[in-house]
Amino acid sequence: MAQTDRHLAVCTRGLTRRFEALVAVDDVDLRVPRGSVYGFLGPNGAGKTTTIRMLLALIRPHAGGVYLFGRPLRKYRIELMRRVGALVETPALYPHLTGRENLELTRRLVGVRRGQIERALATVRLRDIADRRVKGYSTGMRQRLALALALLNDPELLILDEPTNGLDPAGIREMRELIPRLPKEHGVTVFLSSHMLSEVEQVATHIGIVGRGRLLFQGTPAELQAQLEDRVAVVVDRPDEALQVLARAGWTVGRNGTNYLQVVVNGRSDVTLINAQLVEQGVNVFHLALERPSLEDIFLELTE
Amino acid sequence: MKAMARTLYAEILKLKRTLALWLALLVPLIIVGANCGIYLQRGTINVPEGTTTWLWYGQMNVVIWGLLMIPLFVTLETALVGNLEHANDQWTHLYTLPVPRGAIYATKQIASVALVTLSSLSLVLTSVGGGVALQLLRPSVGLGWEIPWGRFMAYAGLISLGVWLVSAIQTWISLRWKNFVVTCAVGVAMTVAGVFIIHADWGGFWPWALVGTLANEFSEGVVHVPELLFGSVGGVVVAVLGGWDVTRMDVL
Repeated sequence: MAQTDRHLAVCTRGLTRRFEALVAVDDVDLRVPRGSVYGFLGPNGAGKTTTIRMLLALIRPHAGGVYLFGRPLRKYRIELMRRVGALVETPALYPHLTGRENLELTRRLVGVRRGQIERALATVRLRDIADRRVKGYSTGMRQRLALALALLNDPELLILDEPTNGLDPAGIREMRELIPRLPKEHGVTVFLSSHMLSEVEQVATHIGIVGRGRLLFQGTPAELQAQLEDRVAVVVDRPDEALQVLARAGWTVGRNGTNYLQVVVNGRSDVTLINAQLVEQGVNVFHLALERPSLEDIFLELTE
Repeated sequence: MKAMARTLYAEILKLKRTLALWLALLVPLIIVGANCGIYLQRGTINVPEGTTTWLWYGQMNVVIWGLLMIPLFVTLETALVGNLEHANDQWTHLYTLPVPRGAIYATKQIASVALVTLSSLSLVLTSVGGGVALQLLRPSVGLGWEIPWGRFMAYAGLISLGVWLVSAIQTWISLRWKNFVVTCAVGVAMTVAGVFIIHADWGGFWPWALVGTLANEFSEGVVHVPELLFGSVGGVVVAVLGGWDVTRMDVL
């Protein structure tokens, strides 16, 4: 582990995991800076949950290693897990116990102060129903209780796998407001896996994209944006002719629908140039707009 | 050791409001209730020579308890204890905590034996209660008032030691396989087999018939030492091997 990597909350080297013939995670090198909100994105079956399970030592990699806070997980699991909180897929709760009892159970296991329970309940706003049995909780309440469990030991690293699963829009918004607060107010690094791109886009300071087990991109949202070029959307009366005009002029053009064209550009100045070229050739332009690719556009392009 | 203490402390909370705890307390009532009902109806207890009425009455409870109810009870309560974690996908939470996996497994083993001990103590208390009720309602049974507490408690202690082996096997199965039916099917089949196997020369060493063997000749104060050692020491060995297996499993 290089000295420079000690600034990373999570670092993996060549992480690989197979399930018989399927390589679920293929040579993945994650680098999650401390204090960041790292959005881990990928379509279903891309290897996100398998990767997370290896980060938490729930399953063993077939190759490569996991380092948390610069230390190898395999050797220092107990010590490192004291600094980690996790929510993996569905909440793991005992339905016959109350919310408070579920927290008390984990508190007993990890040996933290009793006061942490009230603090965790306050953070997820579950104080009012904490003494109700979990079997009577809605999906959203269970998700929030699971998050409280993950926050119980005041972790330095919070690993969340699909934390907005089952939440209603109000719950999703609450989660979206809570997540960026954690690094700012508590210095927590958040590793957040999701297939809901719109949620990650709003909170992530760093992004990793996996597809078919491979890490396709890793960096900041700005670096991701730069991966895909700007486009100009053009709506014309004679699309075939417009396409020929632009192609002759050296533009890369795509057709999207009947009279809707997309032209790859290098900046705003190209917009006026395109308009001028089309009008010169007698093509009427009804609509012209510069489009920045969204995270979804980039994600789909990378993972297709 | 601290980790073990913490996991045991947590396990006590987990059993709150569960069927496993109620079964431990109430199942002995079935045995004692049935036997007392018969004696109440007959009005007499036919006691062979060489033993007292209380001890023979106790023998009738402990033989059924040891041969049939204990292995079935262990099957059911280990299945329930295992299912508590499997059903709620608890392993993804438990194994991400800063707690050694071995401590979690060991706690499950201890919890299983503790529930059996609790049920055996319940058997002792309900047996004594049933005997007192019989003496009051039908003095002709001839129990008297000299209750052999020491012998009854000694039997509860023997069960706690001898049951380790079958408890360790059933606990390993219940934690190894998610399906509740696997634990129950193995336990029931092996218990029924034990009813026949106990008559073989080596039958007393069949894990599911071992406690029944210890119960045999209880009223004469005979302790089957080889079987007791096999059950207790064998239980610890199986528990360690089972722990090595289960704690290495991937949580998928």
